[in-house]
Amino acid sequence: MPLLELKKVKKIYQQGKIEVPALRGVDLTVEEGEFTTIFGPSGSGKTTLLNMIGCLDTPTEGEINLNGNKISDLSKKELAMTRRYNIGFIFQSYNLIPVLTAFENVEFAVRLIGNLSEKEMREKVLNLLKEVGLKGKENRRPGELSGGEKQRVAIARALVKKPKIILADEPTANLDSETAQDVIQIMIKMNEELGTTFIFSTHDPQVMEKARRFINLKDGMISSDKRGK
Amino acid sequence: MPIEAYSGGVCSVSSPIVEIEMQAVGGIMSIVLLIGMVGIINNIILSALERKSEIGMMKALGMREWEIVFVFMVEATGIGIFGGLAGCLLGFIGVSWLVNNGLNFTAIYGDWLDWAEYGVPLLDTIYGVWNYPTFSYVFFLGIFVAIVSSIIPAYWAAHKDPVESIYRR
Repeated sequence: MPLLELKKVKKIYQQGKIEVPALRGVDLTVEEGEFTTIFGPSGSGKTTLLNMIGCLDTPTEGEINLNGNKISDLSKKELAMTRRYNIGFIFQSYNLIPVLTAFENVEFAVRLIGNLSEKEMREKVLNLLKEVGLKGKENRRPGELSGGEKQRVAIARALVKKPKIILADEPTANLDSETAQDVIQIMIKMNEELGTTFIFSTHDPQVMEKARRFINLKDGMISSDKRGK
Repeated sequence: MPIEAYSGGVCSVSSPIVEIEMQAVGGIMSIVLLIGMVGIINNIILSALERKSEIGMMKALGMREWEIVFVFMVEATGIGIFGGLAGCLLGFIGVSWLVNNGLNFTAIYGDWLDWAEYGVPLLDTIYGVWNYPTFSYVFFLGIFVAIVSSIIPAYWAAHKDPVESIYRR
């Protein structure tokens, strides 16, 4: 059974009396461990698609199955629980909690799971921050970190709970090309070492080429779906 | 004449005046609490608006609405505790001054106006008295008001659409 399955997913936004279709019938299957990029011009529906997969939004029509659960059938509470245990998010603008340190931002996600002791939690968070190259910067607040470092914290926060899938919406858009490469390399490393499935959207061809599957979205529909090496 | 006796800042007055005074104190207290509540509601709404993307991220991390409400209520409790402590400190300073120095009405209004003629027993110096239970009552009431006032704006913040919150639409 695939990890993620979308069947004829449509999303229509209502703007006053006008209906604006963002997704016009997307069929997609993603297996566990895939490293997939979704690309396409602005307004093609990349963010909407990631939000649907991430249980942050619901489709107007169609069906989404994640890890054997039909998302459209889940209640608000069940959707929150699915996000808590199965999905990690990385956003373009990092969305870290400014009053918490790098360590606390990552710890916050694992604390919600609540299956580890204080000692285990601390070790896990410190190890992960070391893995993403933030050793020695654990006690810095987001305001004291560079863009690349903030995104590393966001990656660690997404990974710490060992989710089934990580969704990254333009994770390198606010970074310079060198930092963007570093961030994408960390994502590749985590995908290979932990087997976490990654789906990320991007505009950057240099970032895009690192993926192993390429989904081109155009006018709310998948116009091509290719696999690389 | 409604005044029965007054001397050296200590006056004993007839019960209707005491009742009116108590009602006035109650009225002022209600207004103060209402202002406090409006302040806290305003503070929580502004905080929620400023932290819209943070709330969205909390939802993306899988926090349920009541958990987000709880976060805001804890914050309001903190505001209540600090506000209560600050209020008690200011109250302590004010009451200390009233206990030690008193409020000399003769010095304020001079001798040209005899308030007693108008039925108001404001003569000489009025001294404050320590009423410690009031301090603890007002302190805990402040915290209670802060928590209660935070529920609706916190629920409003937690109920927001996560996509709208994350992307600050």
